[in-house]
Amino acid sequence: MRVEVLERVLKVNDALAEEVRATLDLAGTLAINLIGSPGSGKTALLEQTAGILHPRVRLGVIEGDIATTRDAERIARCGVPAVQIETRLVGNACHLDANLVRAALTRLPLAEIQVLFIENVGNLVCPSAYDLGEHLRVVVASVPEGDDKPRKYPSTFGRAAAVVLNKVDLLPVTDFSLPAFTEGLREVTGAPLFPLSARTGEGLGTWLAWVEAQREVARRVS
Amino acid sequence: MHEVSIAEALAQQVTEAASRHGLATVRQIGVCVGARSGVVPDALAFAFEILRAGPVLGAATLDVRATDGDDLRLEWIEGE
Repeated sequence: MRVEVLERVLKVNDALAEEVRATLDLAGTLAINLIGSPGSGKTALLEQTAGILHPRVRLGVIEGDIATTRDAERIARCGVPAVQIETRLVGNACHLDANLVRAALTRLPLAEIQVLFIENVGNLVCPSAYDLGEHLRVVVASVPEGDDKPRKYPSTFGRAAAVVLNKVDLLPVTDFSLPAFTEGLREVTGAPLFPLSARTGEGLGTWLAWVEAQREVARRVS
Repeated sequence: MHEVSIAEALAQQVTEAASRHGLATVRQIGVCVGARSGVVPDALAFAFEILRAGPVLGAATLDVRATDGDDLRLEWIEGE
């Protein structure tokens, strides 16, 4: 006997994600899921962002890694509330899921956080399947990874609300073509692109303005 | 890869659906995997093969239908 089921496979995760989103909305917190390869500079971008925006815009960070609390310690040194999820404690998961984020939220002073960054486990593939209850996704790519990444990882880039291209200070010493990257990105999404260097600070202004604008939009809607 | 955790979620869902529809054994599971879902069908089938166990799922196999979209859906189950 064959019976129709027609359910999303990750419906349990999706239900938890809705719960997370409701908690965030109640606290008036905008959540941004940061996805990118290991070493693309996600934490460096957050350090720079925190250094300029916080505490005028009050930030919070959930760090996801397989192992170590290194990243949460880096963020905490910027004076920003940060909690670390180590997925080695839950089967070495290569991505965060809504259940992990829900638990992490209880360790943060949510009422004091206006923008919460959730830095996913460094990985350009698996995190794209999991809704964490975030409001926006941002993909962080970097120059040394090559200019073909948006075409190679369309499911990840295609769902981004914005894309950061980090390490543009390395453009002169690589074969990376910014027009090729942009062209590939436009095939999968119309999301804004922010070329910047978290190391030199070049290009950070437009990224920070975008983050603040998203915060304003979220505040007016709620 | 994350196909293992997706296979776990799928096994749970199939078990629940089987119980809802009064199936004691599931033979085949129809799954739709979108090209933009971030899931590799072969990896999912492999993960499911490793995970399947017990009277309900022990002999079940996946019948994967590939689509263009970003959906990842359990479409049907077959058994008795």
